[in-house]
Amino acid sequence: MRGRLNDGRTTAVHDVHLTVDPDAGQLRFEPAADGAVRLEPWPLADVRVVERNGQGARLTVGGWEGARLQVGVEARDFLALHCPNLHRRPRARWSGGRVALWCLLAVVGLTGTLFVLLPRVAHQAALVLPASLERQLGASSERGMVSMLTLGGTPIRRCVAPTGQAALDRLGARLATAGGLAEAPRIAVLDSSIVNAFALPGHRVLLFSGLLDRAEGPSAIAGILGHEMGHVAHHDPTEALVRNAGLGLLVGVATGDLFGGSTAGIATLLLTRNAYSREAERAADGFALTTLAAAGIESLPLARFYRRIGREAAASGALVPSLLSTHPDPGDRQARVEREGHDGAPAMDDKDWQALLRICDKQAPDEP
Amino acid sequence: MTLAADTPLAVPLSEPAPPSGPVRFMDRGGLFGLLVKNAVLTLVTFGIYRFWARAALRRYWWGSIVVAGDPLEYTGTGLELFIGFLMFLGIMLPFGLVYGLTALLQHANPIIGGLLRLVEGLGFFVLIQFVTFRARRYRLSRTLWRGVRASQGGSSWAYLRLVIGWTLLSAITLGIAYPWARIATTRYLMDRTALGDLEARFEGRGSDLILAWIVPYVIFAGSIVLLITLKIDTTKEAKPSPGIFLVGLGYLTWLFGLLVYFLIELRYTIRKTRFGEVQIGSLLSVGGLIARIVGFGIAAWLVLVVAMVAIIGLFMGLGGVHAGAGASQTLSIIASVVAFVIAFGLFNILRIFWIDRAIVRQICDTMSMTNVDRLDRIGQSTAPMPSAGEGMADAFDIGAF
Repeated sequence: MRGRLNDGRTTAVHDVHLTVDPDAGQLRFEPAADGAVRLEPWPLADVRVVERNGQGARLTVGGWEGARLQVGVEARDFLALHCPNLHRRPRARWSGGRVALWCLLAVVGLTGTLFVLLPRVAHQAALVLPASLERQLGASSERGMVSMLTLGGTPIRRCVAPTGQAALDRLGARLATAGGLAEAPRIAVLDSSIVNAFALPGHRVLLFSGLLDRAEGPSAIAGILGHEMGHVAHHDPTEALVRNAGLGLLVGVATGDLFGGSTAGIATLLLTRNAYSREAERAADGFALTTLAAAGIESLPLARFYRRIGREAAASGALVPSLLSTHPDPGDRQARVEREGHDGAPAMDDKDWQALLRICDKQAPDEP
Repeated sequence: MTLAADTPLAVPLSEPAPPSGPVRFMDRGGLFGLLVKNAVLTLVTFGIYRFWARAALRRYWWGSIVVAGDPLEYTGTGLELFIGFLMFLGIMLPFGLVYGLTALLQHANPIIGGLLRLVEGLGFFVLIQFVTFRARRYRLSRTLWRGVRASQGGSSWAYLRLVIGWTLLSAITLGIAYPWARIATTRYLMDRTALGDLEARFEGRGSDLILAWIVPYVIFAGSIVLLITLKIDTTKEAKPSPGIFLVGLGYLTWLFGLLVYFLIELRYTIRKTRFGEVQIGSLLSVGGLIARIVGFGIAAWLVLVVAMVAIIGLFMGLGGVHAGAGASQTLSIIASVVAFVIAFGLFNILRIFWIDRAIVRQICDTMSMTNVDRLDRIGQSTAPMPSAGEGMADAFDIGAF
């Protein structure tokens, strides 16, 4: 039995005859050439396979840095009978405890950043950001959302029929006054079958025409606008934007794709799911209810709308993006609107409502 | 030495024919399967497997490079890389938050945001140098040949000072000093590199590379001058004018020239390196590699264009249907993200399989050595071993191997 031995002290190659001494528990080496150096035997129990390869296997011995023995297939199979730990992994340089410690630290750091640091930073940032900056952020996130939805093929266009937009702006101004907002938000209707609405930074609200088609009356629209204005009043969109930017970056760091496309993609994806916290959603609902009440608008149509959409979402599965898909407990919210809601007048007269329904008769590219 | 008293257990040795040159690339096989396995596992583990993938790939590369009859061995593990990454997370998380916030600020206040970006950019530059140095030291410490370990000494701070100094000098001289800067950093690294107790020396001079550098430099400067004299505003020009094509051609030629320069510099670095009395030489054919790289680039580009056309066509079809409330749009967005990930992964696999392997094979097979028998008398390294892997380098994607 022969092999090529490197003793780990020098690069000299020793062509050796191998003998197994089971009694002494040793693998011994006798130089094949004359006049060669003495070679220390290996304890059989410490012999390990580094790697199986085309010629057979490369072996090492525990506790002996760099010692290597290349043997043929037959020698490998023979040694397997005598070396009990041949296929056990060489001991890692890192003990399990230290690995666990570092993993724990990383998990603590990551969750701490995600759930404590990032939300706080985002909340503070949203409060101190100047209005001009918020406006620009709003414009850029609207642009991002439009281009993201355009990814599906057909470009998204804005609905601009003047009488419909005027009716919508009148309703918006009325709600803003009732809710105590400093300025009326810029409300834009985008032509899409998506049943959803978004609040964006800088006093912007986006409505998709799918929502108008499914609202069954102006008061539900007023309720949804009130909800989105609640987000606007509480700076939720700006906060979410800051949080998502940080989150996208964290994901980039964790997946090793720091400057790659996935970071930007995830940030945009998160942007379109207006995933506010449960508290933020409750607060926005509360804002909608008090605003509707102050404006003298009926709130029961909003409850009916929530119920209808909730049923459809449950029936069609979670893939359909709807008002409720990112909002917790649709049943809760509907119950709350029913409980705390007030009677009142419809949000618009029939003429205005019909004009709003036809707002997509005239379309233009969206220019945020 | 005493033999076992019983019958000696003799098994014949099945020895392969040793390769002819001092350095040979002897493909261990199974690269394609390994790459596919790595890509799939990395994808399904959301990137966590990439450390183990990288270690497995390095075992392939190292094990395929045979020096004087014996292959290199990579002894690093995925676990070490993973721990290095965990350590790096601690530094990166707060930095990442600040970076993300300034990105937002830049939208509103381009001047302050831009300045902050500049400072962060410099911070990244410093970090990258630091990381490059440490990654190289880690990889060398995990390189074994005939049981003897390689190493790199020096200090990352000294290296950082050197790089910053030479980068400033390159900037002041408008890039003309670049080859000297490259040579100086290579010399710093090489002169501190050793295999066991056999120390490397690098004897290159920047002036030897200036000719290879000045050609792409002149092309680049020429296209800049052309851009200014033709007053081409790339942002406003609606119709492409002949000037734009000319400038575009200039850029392409410049990129090509850079590729040629880096291959020439690589060959020069090999030729000017010696380990003790062992002088390394190289007969690397730059033209052959260029043809292969450019060919692959053109083929990949063509495939990409065809795929894009097909995907867009598919989405046009999907987008027209409008089934359900926006469901088709969500689906097509998900589909395009998935298609992008798959295409990117496939491109990487093919690039490594066709280009990286060809480059490594060419470099190895054209290498020569004097005094090869000196390689039999190298003693074990006494250099300390870094215990954790190159976590930061992972985040910056430094070191393809």
